[in-house]
Amino acid sequence: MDALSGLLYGLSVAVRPENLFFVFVGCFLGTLIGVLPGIGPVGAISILLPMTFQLAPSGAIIMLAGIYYGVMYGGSTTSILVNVPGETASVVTCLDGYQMARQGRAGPALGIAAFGSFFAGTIGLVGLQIMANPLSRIALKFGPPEYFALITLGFSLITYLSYGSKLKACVMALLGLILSGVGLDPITSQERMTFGILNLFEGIGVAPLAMGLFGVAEVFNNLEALSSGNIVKVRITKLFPSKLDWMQAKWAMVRGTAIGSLLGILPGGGPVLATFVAYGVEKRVAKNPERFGKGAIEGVASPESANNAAASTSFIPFLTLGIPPNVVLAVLLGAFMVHGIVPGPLLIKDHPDLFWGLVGSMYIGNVVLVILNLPLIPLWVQVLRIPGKILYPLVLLFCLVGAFSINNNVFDILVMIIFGMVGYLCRQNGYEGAPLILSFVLGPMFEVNFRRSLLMSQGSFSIFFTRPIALGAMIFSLGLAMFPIYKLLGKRSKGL
Amino acid sequence: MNGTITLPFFKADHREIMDIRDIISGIVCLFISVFVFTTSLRLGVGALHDPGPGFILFWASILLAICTGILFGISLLKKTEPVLRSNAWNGADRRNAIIVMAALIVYWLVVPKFGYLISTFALMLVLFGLGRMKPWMMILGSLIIVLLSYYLFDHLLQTPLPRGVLRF
Repeated sequence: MDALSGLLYGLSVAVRPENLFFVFVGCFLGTLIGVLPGIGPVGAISILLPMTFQLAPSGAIIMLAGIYYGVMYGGSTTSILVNVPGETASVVTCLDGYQMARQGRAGPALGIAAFGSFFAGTIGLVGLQIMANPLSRIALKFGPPEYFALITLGFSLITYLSYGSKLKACVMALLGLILSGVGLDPITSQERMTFGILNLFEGIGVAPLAMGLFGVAEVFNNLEALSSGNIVKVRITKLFPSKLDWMQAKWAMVRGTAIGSLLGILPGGGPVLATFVAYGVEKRVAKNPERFGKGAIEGVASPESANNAAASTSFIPFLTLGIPPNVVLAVLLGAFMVHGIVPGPLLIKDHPDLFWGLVGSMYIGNVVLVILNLPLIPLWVQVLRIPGKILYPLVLLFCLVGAFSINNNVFDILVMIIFGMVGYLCRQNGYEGAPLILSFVLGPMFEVNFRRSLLMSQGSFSIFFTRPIALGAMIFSLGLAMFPIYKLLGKRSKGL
Repeated sequence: MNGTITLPFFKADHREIMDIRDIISGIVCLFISVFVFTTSLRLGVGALHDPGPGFILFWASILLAICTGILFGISLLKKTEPVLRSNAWNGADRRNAIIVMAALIVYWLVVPKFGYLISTFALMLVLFGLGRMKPWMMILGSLIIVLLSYYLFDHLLQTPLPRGVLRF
């Protein structure tokens, strides 16, 4: 099936009444949670995952994808109106978006964020639609060494692009890898670190771990300060940007889309990195860079376009190779597995309705989000006023019931609580949860492909350096690993 | 106090002290790496041509120990980026978080015995209580939320929530 006929088939799946309903519900819930400061896309998917357990796989995946890009849209509202980012990818939007709101231009800021997101999200989807089929065909030729090298590259990028200490990110990635080893050995079925607990024989569940690390830990963190930010008290009128706004923002949207589309595909990249790079580029190419940070509309258009383009294109490696490039898709991989779907090169062939239905639903979702975002802004502002003392107990309750409903087992509740505490303590000590969950999800693939590669080569590491794709990925990974050391040595020699 | 220790090599007039959190997290990670290392040996590391079940764990534990060792060393010797006393522990109120953690553990213990309705009602009372709500609002709010969530998950979404000894 070529890209165009695939899309037409996908749209025919997506416009079925039940799927339209799931797109709408996913986008609505995603935007709702995206609006709430603190709970990002990972927390949102983790918390709402149990709601999809009773649905058919295609409906469940369409809804979860809707939640993902809904959160990416919704996060900008709080950035612009409260100066508190709804999720990490909206941090940059605060810089100029909030300033615009303070100057009485909240409407155009919200409008350009929505239109930019729509434009970029759609372009990103075109990329996904065009690249998915050829990439899947190439991926079918991949063997264990190629997969191992690509996952190693993912690990390197995750650590290299982490926001805090690289060393702490390394520690978290290694802890994730160790945790992924709990359960039966994938090759010999020998028990590993199960302590004789029957519930651990199949390993630690991704969903309770993610819910704990992101949902529950977030609640623990927010319990320390049950206050909300200052919402700008302005009448939001004229959501449609003026002609001058469009003139100023159009190339920023295009550049943001290009940067986001590219960085979304990279393992470890994704929407967050894309927004920072897009904002930096925009400031560099601007004729008057001093306007940035004081309410420049390009400072809203570019990062908002970048994060939505990246959100769309990050599905490319996820759906075609089965490798989640960022933490949100790592959790989504867990959701796929709960529903018995394995993303990868065979997904398009084995589940064309799901794959193309998802792509089709994302196009529809982009339209739904513009329709939802603009007229419902007054409602989202009211949502921001829900006090934490009511909101956080509800989030906790959802997490508890959600963890239980995965296997109807209270053990998963305990796993979630423990990882909630771990996540809270990690955050307090400057350790990020993202490298842990990503390496936890990639860990089994990493181990199996590494061991199989060594079995194939009879213990020779040359297998990773004699096949072109594996070689390229390994050189890139080694370069990333060596770069901080090179920089450190460079600093030392200058100091001497 | 406040979870920090004062090291003599920092100037007292700047009130600069080392952040003990990195030391504690380093010790925990070292403990984990030792545990995983011994476990991997017990499982069997195997050889390069035939890696055993403990192969990845073995190398992961060694890398973890190295990373933690470096982190530990940096924390002990860090003179250039000391943490100010006010930043070291933020003075944040952790009381709420600790109460909720304890409440959740108790919830996990009692929910199989007392069932979803009673246990969750009690948990909600504790959680709303932390928000200093009026008693009647706490009770009414908890009751409404528990009944609505029970209806949503048990009846609509067909999740068999724990019944406990009282069978509800």
